[in-house]
This record gives sequence, C-alpha cells and structure tokens, in this order.
Amino acid sequence: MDKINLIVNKLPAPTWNRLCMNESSLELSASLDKCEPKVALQGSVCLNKKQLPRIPGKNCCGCVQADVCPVHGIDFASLPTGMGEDMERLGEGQRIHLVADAGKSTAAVTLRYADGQQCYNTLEIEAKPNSDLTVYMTYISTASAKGMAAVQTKIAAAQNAKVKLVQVQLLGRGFLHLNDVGCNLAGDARFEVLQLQLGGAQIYNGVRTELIGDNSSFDAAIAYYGRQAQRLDMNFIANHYGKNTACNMTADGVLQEGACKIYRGTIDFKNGSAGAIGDEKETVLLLSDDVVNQSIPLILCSEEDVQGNHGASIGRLDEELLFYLMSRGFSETDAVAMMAKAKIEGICRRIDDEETVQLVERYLEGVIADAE
Amino acid sequence: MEEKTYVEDIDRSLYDFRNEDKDAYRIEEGLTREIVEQISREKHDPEWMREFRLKSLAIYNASRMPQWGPSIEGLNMDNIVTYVRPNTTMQGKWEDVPEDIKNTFERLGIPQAEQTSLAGVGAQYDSEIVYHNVCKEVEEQGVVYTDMESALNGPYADMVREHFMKLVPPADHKFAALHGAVWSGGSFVYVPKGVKVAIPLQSYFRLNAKGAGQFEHTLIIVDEGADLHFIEGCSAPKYNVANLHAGCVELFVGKNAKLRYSTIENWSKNMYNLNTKRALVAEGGTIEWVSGSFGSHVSYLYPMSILNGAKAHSEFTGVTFAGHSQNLDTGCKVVHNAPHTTSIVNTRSISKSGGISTFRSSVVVTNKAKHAKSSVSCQSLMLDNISRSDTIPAIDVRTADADIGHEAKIGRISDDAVFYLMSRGISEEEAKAMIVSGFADNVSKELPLEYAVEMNNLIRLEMQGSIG
Repeated sequence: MDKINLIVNKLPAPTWNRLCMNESSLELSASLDKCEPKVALQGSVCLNKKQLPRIPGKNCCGCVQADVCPVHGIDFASLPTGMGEDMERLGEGQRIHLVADAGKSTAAVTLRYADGQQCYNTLEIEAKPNSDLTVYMTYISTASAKGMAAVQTKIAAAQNAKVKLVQVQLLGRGFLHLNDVGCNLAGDARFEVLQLQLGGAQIYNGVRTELIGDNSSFDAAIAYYGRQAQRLDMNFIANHYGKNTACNMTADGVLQEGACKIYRGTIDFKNGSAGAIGDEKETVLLLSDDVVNQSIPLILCSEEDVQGNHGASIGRLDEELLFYLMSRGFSETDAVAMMAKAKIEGICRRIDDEETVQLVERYLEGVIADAE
Repeated sequence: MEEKTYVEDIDRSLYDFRNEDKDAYRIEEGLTREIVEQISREKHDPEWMREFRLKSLAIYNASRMPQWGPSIEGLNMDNIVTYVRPNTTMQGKWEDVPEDIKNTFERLGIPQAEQTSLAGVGAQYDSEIVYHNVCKEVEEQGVVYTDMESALNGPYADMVREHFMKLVPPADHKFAALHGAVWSGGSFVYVPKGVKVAIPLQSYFRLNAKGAGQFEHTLIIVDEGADLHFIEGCSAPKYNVANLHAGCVELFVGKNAKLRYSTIENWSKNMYNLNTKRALVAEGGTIEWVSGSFGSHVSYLYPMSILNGAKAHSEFTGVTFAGHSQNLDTGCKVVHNAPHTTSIVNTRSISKSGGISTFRSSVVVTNKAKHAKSSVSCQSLMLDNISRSDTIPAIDVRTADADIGHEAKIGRISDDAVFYLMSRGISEEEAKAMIVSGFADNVSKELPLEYAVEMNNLIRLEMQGSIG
C-alpha cells in the first residue's frame, strides 16, 4: 500500500534536536476513503455549492493577489494551518465550504467514522463582515474502532466577524486523528476555538491564527484526558500582525497510563503589532509514573509595545488539595477522578449546545469508569 | 508622538585596546591534522591527549553545524588561528609578566582585584596562562589551583585524565569536538573534602590576537562537603575579522559540596562565543551559576546542571544585554536525575538597537527524579521596535511525582514607572536607566560587590543617553 510521509507541527523557532520537540513525522496511507459529514445549519449560514478546486501552493485562478482573489474570493489553499504545509499533500479530501453572512448562525458538522476507515475531510469557513457563527464539529466512532480521521478546517473571518469553533473528539481507541486548523482574522474579527480531545490513539492537533487586522482577537482552550498509551501532539500558533490584537491560549489536561503529550504553543509578536497582548497558560496533571509530558511554550517578539506572558504548571495533584478532599470524605481515587473531570467540564461550560455537552458527559462517564 | 530615551550600547572602550603580537608564536590558520599535532607538540601533551585531540578532530569533521540557533555563517574555520602563544612563560609574580601583557591586565583591574578580593588568580592571554597565583592560606588548606598544562603533567595528571571531557564529550556537538582537538590554557581547581574557600578564585581570559580562537579548558572538582566561589571574566579588543571562543567548563560538585560559578562575559562584537559549560552534582550538592552576557557578536551559551544525586540543587541566575549587531542566544539546561532534586532558573534579557536576545532552556525530569521541583522564570525587556527578543523554554517530565513551574514575560519599560520616578524629580533618561539597572539586579546582587559594581557600571553609565 502506498504511503505518504508528512512532517507536521513544526515549531516556528526550532531548538535542540535531541529534545525531539521541533516537529513530528507521520506515515499515512495514500489511499483515502470518503466520510460524508452530516451538516445541520441554522441562521444566516449556507453551504456553498459552487466550489472551486484547491490547487496547493497556487492561487485558484493564478491571480497575483495573495489572500483574496478578485475573481473567486478567498484563497483557502494558501491559508496557513497549525500542522503545516505538508498537510496540503493530502489534497482537498471530502470538502465542504460554509459561508456565513451578517447575523447570528450555527453549523453542526458531525463526522461519524466506521471501523477501518481512512478519511480526510476539509472544511472551509468564510465568515462575512459582521457575521457571528458557531460551528460544532464532532468526531465520533464506536469505542473499539480503528482508522484515520483527518480533518482540516480553514477559516477566513472578515471585518468584525466572530467565529466560535467547538471541536469534540470522541473517537475509538484505535484511531489516528489529525486535526488541522488555520484562521485568518481581519480587523475587529474574533476567533474562539474550544477543543476536547478525549478519544483516539494518536492525536496530532495544530491550530494557527493570523491576527492580521487591528483589534482582532484569538482565544483557544483545549482540554484533554490522555490515557492508555495515547499520544497527543499539539502545535498552537498565534501570529500577531495587527495593532492591539490579543490572544489567549490555555491547555489543561490529565495524563496517565503511559500517555505521552507534547504541547507547542507560540505567541509571535510581529513588528508593527503595537499594543498587542498575548497570554498562554498550561496546566498538566500527572497521574501515573509512566507518562511523558513535553511542553515548549514560545514567545517570539520583534515589537516593543507588547505584553506577552506564559505560565505552566506541571505535576501531580496538589497534596493539600488532596488532603482537603479526603478530609471531606472522598477517596483518593474519587478525588483524582473529580479533578480530572473538572478540567473537561471547564471547557463544557463554554459550550452552548446542550446536546454536545451531554454527548461529552456520557463519553466521560465511560472514561472515568474505565480509569477506576 | 511619544519621545524615546536613546539607550546606548554597552561601552566597551575599557576593553577595546590591543597590543601588537609581534613576538607571539602563531600557528597557521585553519584546522588540519597537522595543526592539531603541532598544538599537541607545543603543549607537550601526553600520548593519550594527542590521540584524544585527533579523535576529536575526526568527530568535528563528521559533525554538522547547529541547525537551530543564530547564524554562524560569518565564522570560517579556515581563517581562524587556533593557537597563539604569547612571548612568555607562566609567572607567579606580576612584575615578571612582560610589560604590555601586565598593562593589559592592570587596565582590566585584575592585579588590584587579586589584592583586595580574591584568593587566587589565573590570567590567560591568547592561548596560554601567563600568570597564576594562589594565596598562601588557601594553598595550605590543600586547594589546588593551577593551569591545565601543569595539571596535565603534574601530580594531578590521573585526576585530570579521569575527568577531562567526560562531562562534555567531544561527540556532544561540533564545537565541543573542536575544543577537544585544539584546546589550550585554562585552569584546574581541586578543593579537598570539607575545605571551604572563603573568598573567590578568578580566572580571566583575554584574547588579544586578531582572527584567533581561544579554547581554554576549565576543570573544577569540589570534593565532599567543600565550598568554592569561582569567577570567570573574559574580554577582547574588537577587530574587523571574526574571532572565536570555544571554551569548555567542566565542574564536578561532590556530595554536600557547593560551587558558585560566576561569569561576566564581555567579548568584543566580532567574537563568536560558542562556549560549553556543564556541572555534575552529587547527592546534596549545590551548583549556582551567575552569568552576565554582554559581549560577542554571536553567542551560544547554556550552562548545564546534571543533578545526579538525591537532593542535589541548582540555581541559574542570568542577564543578557544584546545591543547593535549582537545575536545572543543564552539560557541554561537542567537535568533532574535523582529524587528530591531541585532547580531554580531566573533570567533577564534586554534587547536594543537591533540586538537579538534569545532565552533558550530545557528542564528534563527523568523517571528517577521522584519529588523533583523546578521553577523557571524568564523576563525580557524590549527597548525599541527594531530589536528582537525570543524565549524558547522546553520542559520534559517523565515522572508523576514532580512539581514543575514555568513563567515567562515580555514587555517594555512601564510608562507608569517612568512617570512615577519623574514625578520624584528624576529625569526621564535617568529613570529609564534606573529601571533597566533594576531589571538586571537579579545578577548584580548575586555577585561580589566589586563585580556587581563593574556590571552595573557596564549597564548604567551607558544608559545615560539623550532624549531623541
């Protein structure tokens, strides 16, 4: 069977090679199946049926303008993503294109995978000026299923557009999951991404946002529960170009049972991004002695008038907190499970769709029961 | 439009003077087997060292340049002179040192410091130690402080052989291999069990020769329960060709011993400073690094602490000031490899006039390091928007029983702080100079008074620029 080798999740500024954090390599099957997504739309969002072919590395009609083609609109092919340019080698997969007009709207995209499927889907989201779109993406399979679920999501948010992307990954224990996101923000636009990475065997996750317009903002929050030798490989990038731009990235997770995680988080203040603010925070709860936690939070800066902060806290459950909980009648196992669950629930509280929240809760009950 | 204080670069006029090296012996430029063998002969190496040099050369030739840091394209080893011997042998009295060399060290304040605040001094000029002396009281405690060549051929030869480039093997990276091939000069220190050296020892490295490299090797062994503060200083005049510093520092800190290693580095702006420093710390031992990086064109400098015994501890306190045409990539590495080990990293970096400052670190906690604790704090100050400041900290934890914290901040001088100071009658330029000096005080307060004053002068005098 033909294979494709990809280098993904490259660190924007590399460091010592022996740490094995600069990038990750992947070998994928070249033969991809179709996974037809179920799409439900509400409000001023529609599916664009007149899709033009994406030509990797080229503008759609050969025009010279880089970002927006005067004939065909947004050039999604060149919109950068977190996992990097190698993902373009997978082609355009099963593609859908959403267009959100001004006003509030919601889209729910459900990708249900069968055992053994190797799928690649792409989703393009065009958020017009003053639009306010929430997109729920759910990746789901049976608990024992194996396969590959690769999804690339590209977002172009125009002036004052707001896009909230909620991605919930509840795949089976044998899945390779690639989740690649890229977003360009115009002036006053906002992109919020909430991710729950709960299932799968190997998860590669990249999110990159270009804060191009002044006053644009990016808020990313991810929670994960790594267990049973899962590998979670992440790359979050916020590139500040516009003035008074803001980003806030948080990653909160639990590792146990041989799980392995790498979190790369980069805030890059480009020259000219005066008044920009970037914050990044990571907390990792380590629950067993065979886990591997790697973190590399970068702040890159070529502008004077900015504020960048990063904080990380990695370790076991605070002994005083554990003592407090046990003094209130919780067993150690219950206390640990509660703290793990709390990390996921922190994201759930920010999800407005009750159905999605219930789906996560049901999944989580199974996970916690497994762990116990 | 907001007015800005112009903050000048560090004034290097104190360091930027040079002597004619007409009487010195210079080996030919480049790096070949013949040159390495010639250095070995000049140094009267034992046979094992000659072989070691040649093996290192082979590793150097087979290794790649680093792919991740500042560009070192301007460094061409074919143009570097790897060995320059001044026209003197090592002396034990300053009056016996040739006049021009003695004047150099007097202008750098070394003999004066020796009299007032040091227990011993080693002074290296180009590739060789020209002066070495240790005070009688310290010698009587059994402390050995000598140049590496004497140590290699003297009563401590076996100890040197047992430790030499064992912590930093030539295969570690390309410039460690280069060091192994062409090293010369440097100091050897042995502090016996239980001996506490009350006042510091200092080695000062001066590179005078144009287009030359300095490859000194510092080997310090602090035995069980002993205590030492070692200070390293370095400078060079500026030339319009590249100079290279690829020294190596290996520190062995014994059980319950303590070593503080302080460096004020002020190389000239044509210098490629590719230095390697590493400490191995046994049970209950402590290594403290205090590091001020002000000079050089390009620096790669990351002192590493390997905490190999239970309750071993490391502290790294550093400040980096990158001005015009400088790209200073500095930081540290810590490996926790035993239970209850602890580490603290506290750094400041300042970038101005197009200078690039990068803080790079790694904290690795192995599965053996149960109950390890580490705290990393790095702060960066941008003084204009033509400069650059990056932080690249890596954390790798492989046990659940660890407690690792990291924080990083980047920003500019607070307008509120400047306003507050100005409202107390201080001029804007003075206010900003005070804030920058205060920003770097994590290092200056850890240095002996005389050196803290020198460091503050480096920053402060030159911060008094004009509003423009």
